[in-house]
Amino acid sequence: MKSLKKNKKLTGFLLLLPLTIWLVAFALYPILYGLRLSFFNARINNIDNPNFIGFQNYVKLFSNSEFASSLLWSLKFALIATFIQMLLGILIAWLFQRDFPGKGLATTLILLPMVVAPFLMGTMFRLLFNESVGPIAYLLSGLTGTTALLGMAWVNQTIIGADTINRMPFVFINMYSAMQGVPQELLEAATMDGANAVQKLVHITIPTISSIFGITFLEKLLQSFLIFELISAMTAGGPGTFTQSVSIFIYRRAFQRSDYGMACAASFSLALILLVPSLYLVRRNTKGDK
Amino acid sequence: MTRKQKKTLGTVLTVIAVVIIIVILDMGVLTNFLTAFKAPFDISSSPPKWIFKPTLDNFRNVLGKGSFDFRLYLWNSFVIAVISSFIAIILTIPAAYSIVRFHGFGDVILGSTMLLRLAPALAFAIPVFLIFNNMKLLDTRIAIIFMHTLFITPTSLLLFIGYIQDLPKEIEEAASIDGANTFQILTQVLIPVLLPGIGSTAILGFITSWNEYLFSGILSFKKAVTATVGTSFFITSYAVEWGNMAAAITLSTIPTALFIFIAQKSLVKGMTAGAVKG
Amino acid sequence: MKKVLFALAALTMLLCAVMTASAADDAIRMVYWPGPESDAMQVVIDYWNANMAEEAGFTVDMELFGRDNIMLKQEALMAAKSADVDLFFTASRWLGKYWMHMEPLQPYLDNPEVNIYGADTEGRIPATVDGFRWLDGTLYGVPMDLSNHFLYYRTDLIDELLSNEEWKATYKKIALEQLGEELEPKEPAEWTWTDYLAASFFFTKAYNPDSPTEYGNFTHGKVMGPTAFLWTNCYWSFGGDWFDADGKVNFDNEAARQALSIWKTSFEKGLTPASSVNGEFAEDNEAMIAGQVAMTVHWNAGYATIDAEESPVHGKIAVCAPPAGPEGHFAYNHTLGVGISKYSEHKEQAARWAAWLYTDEAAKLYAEAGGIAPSKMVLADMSDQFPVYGYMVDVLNAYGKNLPPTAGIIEDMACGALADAWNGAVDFDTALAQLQADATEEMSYWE
Repeated sequence: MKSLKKNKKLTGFLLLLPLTIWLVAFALYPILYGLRLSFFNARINNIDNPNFIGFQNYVKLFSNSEFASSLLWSLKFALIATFIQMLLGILIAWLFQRDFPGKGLATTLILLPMVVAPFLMGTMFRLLFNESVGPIAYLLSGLTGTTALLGMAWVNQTIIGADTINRMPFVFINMYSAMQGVPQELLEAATMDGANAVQKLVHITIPTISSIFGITFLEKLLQSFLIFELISAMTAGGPGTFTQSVSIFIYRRAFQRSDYGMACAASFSLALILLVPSLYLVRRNTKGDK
Repeated sequence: MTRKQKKTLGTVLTVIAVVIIIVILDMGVLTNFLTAFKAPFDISSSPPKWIFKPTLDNFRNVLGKGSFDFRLYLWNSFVIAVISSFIAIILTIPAAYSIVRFHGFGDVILGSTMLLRLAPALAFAIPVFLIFNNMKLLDTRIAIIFMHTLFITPTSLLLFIGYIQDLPKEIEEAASIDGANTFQILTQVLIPVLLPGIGSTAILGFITSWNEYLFSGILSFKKAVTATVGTSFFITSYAVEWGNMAAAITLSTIPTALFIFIAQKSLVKGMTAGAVKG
Repeated sequence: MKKVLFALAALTMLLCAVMTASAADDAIRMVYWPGPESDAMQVVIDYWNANMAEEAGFTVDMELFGRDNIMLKQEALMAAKSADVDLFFTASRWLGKYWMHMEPLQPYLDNPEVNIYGADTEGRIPATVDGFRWLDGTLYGVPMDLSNHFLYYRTDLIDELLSNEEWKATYKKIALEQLGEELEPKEPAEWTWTDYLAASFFFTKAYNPDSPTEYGNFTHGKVMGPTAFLWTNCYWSFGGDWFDADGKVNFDNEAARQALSIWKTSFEKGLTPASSVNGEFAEDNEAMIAGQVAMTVHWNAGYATIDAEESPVHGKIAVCAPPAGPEGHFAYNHTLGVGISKYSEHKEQAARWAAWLYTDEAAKLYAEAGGIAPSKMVLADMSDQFPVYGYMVDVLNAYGKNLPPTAGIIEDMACGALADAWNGAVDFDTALAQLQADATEEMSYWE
């Protein structure tokens, strides 16, 4: 074997090869097809022979106030949901650093809400949060003062709560497994120096797992921004367009109105809008080896 | 208070806190579980009933309803989820390693993988359908595996980038000086240290695939229907068959919960990881 | 690298192992959607495969596509020109989107070699057959399952209202306070939309603390096409329609404003449960069964559940046509059914099956299994067994109306704009003008 340094480029390339082949084989065609469609007026009545309309779909999209308000809703939702879920996920993972009886079972139970498909859980939430007969609605009515949790006044909070139950375990599992890698010696040394639990979390644990923290944050932000199945099942974006996330907007274009050109244009625009901040966040994590 | 007492108290408090958290988080799963054992008009009772005569009718409906083969759907889901998450891990560990340690060409792949994550896939349903139609792979598990792998890959890649990034570079350098080649470093040094990360990524990949609804639904007719899609058949033209749906969800939770229970053992700090890190 | 190659080889083998070869068979494949309709259709198919298949020369197989992806999945099959299915599932209102991918049925029905049963369209309720004709009159499908809207009400409460002097006085007082008119309680079958609102106020605790129910009515508000259809009963009764006589989109008018204000009053004044803004069929059933509301404009399919033996409100439920406006009563109806795919490789067989579905024999099997086959004879014969069939025939004969096949093209934008208007998110003028413009533009792509 030749030395690592000489072949660094080739090795780096070879390591990437399997993934590259996979992406080219299965993702390239749909993406190019979609990109092409975004420049066409393509509906189910002319899908054989769509007519080219240049950038019209994009122009229409960006002058569409519904698209703008769905972007805004998604942004607000992403920020709030991510904040809540990151905070809870880290705190619970930190709690799980202690040993206690039944920890394996507890870990599984914390992850349990995540194993129910959001689409199915969202559908069941229609019953569980139902104003007349919903068990959860009745349990929470002591706090909320009403069982109308899917009414105008509570629907946003309910969706955030439902999403937190469903997706917070994602943060938990990443943080928990990353915290396994924090050297015990560092924490013990800090204890000797009289650091309390919060100081240890903020000054030792989180900096040590900063990359996975950053990645989880980004992934959580994207998940929330692109939230689809849960809302689709619970409110379909309503009342009216009140909880219409950007994915719901695209879904309604493609599935309900079969306006594929516009749906593809929206999808690509969204990807481009998100790409710069996402890559920046990833790059911040990958640049500068420790 | 002695030190031992203090420790016991800490454990007791932790357990109490964990129990409270679990009860809140699993509220949906638990009430769904209860619903699965209710007769239709117990489900529609206002206020909701907490004590009722349990029935197994819903489970009987799910497991023995004519052409509705829920056992097959569960098996499909399991096969698809295991293979998809396995492939995604095999593809992304070397790629993440390359991106973190070798730079260069990796940025392009990273960017395009991210793009895959960022563009809501549902807009591409038609071309995806056309591809698998042309390949004569509609209604096969293999088509769904290909799609699910694509959905799992971006998140896996990012997570492995994070995990590898958080590793001290010295481990690999030491191995490299000892004469190990890249492949040996990857399999003998990196993977053991990464085990908790691999465990959690595998669990996440498995769950992503298990939960995926849209594309599994579009690409399957009868033979490759997954549990999630099969369960959605209880959403009928007008009503939702709540009891049957709750029972189907409960049934499909069991294998996933078992998978997680087994896989989460790898999350616990392994001996190797501790030794290398120290 | 050997190990990697080995792993890849193992992986490939694993993948091959899970591949399932698709078996070819001679069955005709028909798309349907899961639920009571498919349970009924399964009985019909089982009968065919056991008794008719031999003579006809083929069996029939049903493919279930779930409610949430049936449209996309069928559209994907259409885009792919796939011969995988022979009959598509369609609703009368979706025909405008799908007819170009479907095969005209009439020539097959007229061909005695295909239609060996001598079946014709005469046995079906004419409006449901017309629902499967494109604007030029071409027939594309078999109407299999009929749905319509009723006004549901609690007979115990209405009887009390009509006989109890104290209640009558309160009713008049509340009507005067809230609607500015002194109204007398009436039989629900004679209600106008104003009476409907007055009764809704009366049965809402916030306005009448003695009301036995929490809310007066349940108004569907979820953003989905069917929500807009429920509102359409009201829109028609004020003289509006989705399209004018020339087929042009027609939303920006006075009738729409009046109909919207009826809906808006229910939501704004809290006459309907607060969460009904996101409510649809299932939520309506729960509210009625829980005894939370006194009346609702709702789908016929809810009757079996709401008035079921074990239901707490069993025997206290009656139905009639939705309330009237200046133009009288209207009762929306639509039909689900199947049509032959243009890309099918077994069109003649599919047509033979479709022809048989038109027979009263098939309709009877379907209806006995709980489906609502729109056959005149079957619905009349079975109204003893399923009382709701009788009510449907009565209401539809007197007030039935449906939307044209082009409605499906704009139903999504209609329900979005209308919901925003009655929720008060957007004022009526803006919402209707926007809907008019958007829908007109959309229709221009479908000419």
